[in-house]
Amino acid sequence: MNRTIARLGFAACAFLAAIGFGPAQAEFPEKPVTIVVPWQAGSSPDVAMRTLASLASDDLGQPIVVQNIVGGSGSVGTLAVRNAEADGYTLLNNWVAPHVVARLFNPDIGYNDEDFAPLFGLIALPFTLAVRSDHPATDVPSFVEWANAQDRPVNVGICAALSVPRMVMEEFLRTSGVESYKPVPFNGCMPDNVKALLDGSLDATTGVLIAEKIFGGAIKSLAVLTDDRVPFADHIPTAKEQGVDIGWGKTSQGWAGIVAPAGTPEGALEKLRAVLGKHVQTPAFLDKMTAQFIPIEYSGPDEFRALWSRSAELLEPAVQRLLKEKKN
Amino acid sequence: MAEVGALLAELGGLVGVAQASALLIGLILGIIVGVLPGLGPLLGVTLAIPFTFHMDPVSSIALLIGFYQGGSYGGAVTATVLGIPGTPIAAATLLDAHPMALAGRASEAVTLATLASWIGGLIGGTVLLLTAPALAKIAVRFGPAETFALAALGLTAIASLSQGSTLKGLLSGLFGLMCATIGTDPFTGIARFNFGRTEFSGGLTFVALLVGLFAISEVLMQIERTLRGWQASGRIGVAFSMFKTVFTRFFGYVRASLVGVGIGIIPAVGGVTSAFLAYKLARDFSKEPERFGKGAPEGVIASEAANSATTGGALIPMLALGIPGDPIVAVMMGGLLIHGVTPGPMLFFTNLEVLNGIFATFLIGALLLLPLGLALLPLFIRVLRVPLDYMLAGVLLLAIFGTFAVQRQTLDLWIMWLFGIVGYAMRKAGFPLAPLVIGFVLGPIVEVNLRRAATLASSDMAGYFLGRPIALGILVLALLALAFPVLRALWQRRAAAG
Repeated sequence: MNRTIARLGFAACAFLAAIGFGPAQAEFPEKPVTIVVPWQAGSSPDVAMRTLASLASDDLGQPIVVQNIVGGSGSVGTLAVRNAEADGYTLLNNWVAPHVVARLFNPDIGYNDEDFAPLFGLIALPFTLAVRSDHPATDVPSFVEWANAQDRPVNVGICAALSVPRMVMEEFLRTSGVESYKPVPFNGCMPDNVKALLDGSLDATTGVLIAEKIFGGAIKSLAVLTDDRVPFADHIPTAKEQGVDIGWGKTSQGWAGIVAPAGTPEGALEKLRAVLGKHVQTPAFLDKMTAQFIPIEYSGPDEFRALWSRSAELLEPAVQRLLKEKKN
Repeated sequence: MAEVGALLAELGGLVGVAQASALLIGLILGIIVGVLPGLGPLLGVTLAIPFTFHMDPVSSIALLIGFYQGGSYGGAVTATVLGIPGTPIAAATLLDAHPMALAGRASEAVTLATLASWIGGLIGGTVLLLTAPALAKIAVRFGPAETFALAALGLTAIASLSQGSTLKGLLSGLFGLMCATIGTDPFTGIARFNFGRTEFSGGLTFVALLVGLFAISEVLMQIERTLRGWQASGRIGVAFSMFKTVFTRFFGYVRASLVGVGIGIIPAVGGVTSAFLAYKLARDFSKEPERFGKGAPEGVIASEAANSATTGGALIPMLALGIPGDPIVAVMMGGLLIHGVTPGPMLFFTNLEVLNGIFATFLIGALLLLPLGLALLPLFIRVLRVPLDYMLAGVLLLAIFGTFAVQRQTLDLWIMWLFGIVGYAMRKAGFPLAPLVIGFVLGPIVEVNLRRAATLASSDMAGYFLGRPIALGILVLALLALAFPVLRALWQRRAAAG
């Protein structure tokens, strides 16, 4: 009799456990975790996330899968994660371009800061002022002097019309005293704008560090447009050192991190922060990123969230100015 | 010579196990797709694209190159055995290969076709390897005006030179351009024509559009026809006696291959024309032209060597200039773009490894075609016995899974179905599909470069273009391509009247 009851009890428990009501609820994660990258496979963000995924999967106990949802300057992938189930199994590699800039330009884009819970900030991509290597200028002052000696506006490549690098570059040009310039938009900071330097369409361009490596001696970087030199490219002086300080701090960089949809259980967030956060600070990860010219700047969730609102505040006037220019 | 050896060794080093297996799979499946009547290399490349998403760039292009080379060859088997071209580019092969088969020389015809494809592919690949870097060196100096002009040339050429009505070709190209404007303005980054939905700001997904346009519409077209398997009769094997033709008919092989590469470089003309042109040349040069059409081995050699060499030629403008000249190459270019590899002169700086990987896989694929084609011949002939309805069900399944797997967005499936119906309607109404794809791929290039040129030119657009003779010259060619069909019609009318 007792044995029968015990058996029935055991069967009931097993049944409840099986359908998920059991006392022995399994720990997160129980299935693969997806990180959505809103850019193409093979791009720098994609490489960074795939590297992290391959390093951290074992530790997490479940595979981490990278999925590319591309388009709309990253806004399609960003929106897809905002609309995903907030269960910790869908994460986003969020970038300032879709997260902040695209929303400032289009408030109806369908997401805002409150829709995301930060894991941590990870990448801070500085922009450079680059010219062809046979350009007479050797530093920022001589570039400004050269630009102002031309009887035409100088053609300056900007990575995209409505982008952080554009706003940073224009702020830099205004602060440095270049009197007349024409911003020429491209689809990204590489490689079409570099080609335009080489074919003579551009006098200078907003660039990224890896361009100098890829194009060897064909182009030279006159300045990196952030507050500090970049450790793995420390031969390039900052604009600030050369007397031009736009005072934007971290907002002068293309930043990125990892977020989950808002409402994701705190337990899952903690686990993800602990495991992924540990791996992004290991030499295995950092060395690979240095080789790819991707500068890593880890920041905790609160600090990262603060960067979102600071970026929005700083970029808002620049966005309004561009929107006004566009209407005129 | 030592340099060439070193180069080949370096290229070989870029092809690892993953890339080689992708190439092999592509070749075998490509030949099968080519063998199946009605299904050609374009469909093969289209269905393969989604599977390349999770491969490295060289493996994915290796798979596509395999499909391209295999698919271009496979049609010859069907042409010989059944007397219907497995793919349109085998239409010229049919003229002599089928009569040979009827005379009991099927094995000889198939062996010849394989040899010719092999030599054509190798010559095409060699020309590709030698020409593309040189052309790119020139193209690196091209500014936005020149790039715009080149893209415009590619667009007008495909619209007006492809078969059928010029007007319908132009409309199809225009529709492709319009589809390309959906999503995000490539110049300003602002969403446009996105139906007010952020989901559409990525534009129409290339794979979904492509699979719908070619695979779904092909299935719809095919189920209208009677569904049955074909009966191939007789034993067909390898005729080793044909190998000596490589020496005895050496000039025939080389002449047709060179014609093939040359035609391949010109946008829009393609394998069908190059095969017929090479065939005609072979007949003109022959001492006994009356044997052609009755089973002349030279005819098979000319047609197959030419259409195979065309594949190498067609890759040259895509890789060196970023301008695809035919829809298959446009699809391959889309496949590269998915991996963040932008074809064009900058490829030689930014993705030299990928580029060399493309050269290497092309040459290795061309080399493998001979042993593979001959060794697996029984398999390919057996494929012809599989009832077509099973094949079509398989195509449909691959289309749906492939499209969904790319981004796991159901929206992409809707786009696929929509363009399946659009493609079907266009085919029924006699509109060519190729200009649509070329328009879709070239749309952003045309738009961005024209607007960039306008920004640089400020208010003096005419002066800007007049100061650029290369851009101007290419634009004149584009206008000529547009005017060509009109001039031809006028000339024909006058000839008829006079």
